[in-house]
Amino acid sequence: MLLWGQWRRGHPRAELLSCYLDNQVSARERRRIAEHLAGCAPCREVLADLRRVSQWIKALPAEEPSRPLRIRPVPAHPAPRLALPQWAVPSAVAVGLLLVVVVATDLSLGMQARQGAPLPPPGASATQPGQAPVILAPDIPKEAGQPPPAPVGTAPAPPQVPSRPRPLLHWVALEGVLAGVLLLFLALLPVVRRRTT
Amino acid sequence: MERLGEAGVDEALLIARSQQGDTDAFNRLVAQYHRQVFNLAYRMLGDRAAAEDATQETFLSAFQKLGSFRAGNFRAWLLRIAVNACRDYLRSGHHRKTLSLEGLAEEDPTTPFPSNDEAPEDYALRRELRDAIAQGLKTLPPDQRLAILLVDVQGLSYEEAAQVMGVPMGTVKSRLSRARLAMRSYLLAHKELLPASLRFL
Repeated sequence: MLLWGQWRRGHPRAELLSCYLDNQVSARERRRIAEHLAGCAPCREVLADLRRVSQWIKALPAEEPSRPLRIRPVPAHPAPRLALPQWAVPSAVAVGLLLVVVVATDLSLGMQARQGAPLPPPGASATQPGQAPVILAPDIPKEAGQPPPAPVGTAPAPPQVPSRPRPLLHWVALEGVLAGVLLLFLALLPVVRRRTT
Repeated sequence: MERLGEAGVDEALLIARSQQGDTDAFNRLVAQYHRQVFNLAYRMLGDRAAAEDATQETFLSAFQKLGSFRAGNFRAWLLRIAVNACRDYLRSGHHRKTLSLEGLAEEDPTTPFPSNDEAPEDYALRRELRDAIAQGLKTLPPDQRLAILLVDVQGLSYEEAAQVMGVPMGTVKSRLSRARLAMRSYLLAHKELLPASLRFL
């Protein structure tokens, strides 16, 4: 192949000399370069330098990798896994924990309420039999002769009755705790499965 | 018809078996080309750890893409993947730290010690020359460095180098000659890096 433009002012360019060095020029071009080199010391010097550099680079010692490489085969039938989204497990755990906390708090508050402000006994109303009802109303004078209504808060306090447990609250709490435990179990099940497979 | 040598037949068989998912066959190909790919990556990136990473990436990628390989030059195909892995690494910006010139002066633990047949002076000379060449290679633009590594270090033909670089053969010639001239200029300008007995450039 004739490399056009590879000669400048009668001398082969370095690119052409580099190709000449690797025998990457046509026979015709090779003859022409050889003839030129026979009579041109500077071009011979450039060619010698290129050859030397190339030889030195070729003699660069090869580096050894520090460890051998191996591709490991992938199991043909990987163990089936539950196709759950990534957020499923943490979400389920969070919901379960939240539920347990809420129910526990509810239970605790309910117990405190029972201890601090006992509820009236079942069947008891705000008005005792034979006692005038207490009405919260504006202070408007009634007709003369009529006795003024009893002042607010003057009604006698109901007798202290020992508080009784509330079975309904206990049931709700128990169910909540069970639901929380169940959710936690469901959330941890895929993790346990993955570790055992 | 071109007759394939025993190695060529073996390689074709290994490739065919690897394409069917035979990892043992592929591991034999890995063992065959590991050193070559690692050396190319090492000279391109100038850092052992980076070269190890790029080499691993090359073989993993090759295993995944093996289905797309058609009959041809497996070495050129593999080295092209290696070159792309190196380019990705250089583009990622990690090389800024690893290509420091200070790193070159560090003692390389893998440098072979002088053998019993080699005089200590010869060993020292070989070592100095190796360091000077390695320094010079690092100053080349990546494209020129790749050309000189493929042709002069890896011993690829111009045609194979063109295949690996993904450029026409004329571009390979041009880059290679520029790289050699740049190396010559570098060594002329840094004669002090050369062993005293070789300062005749």
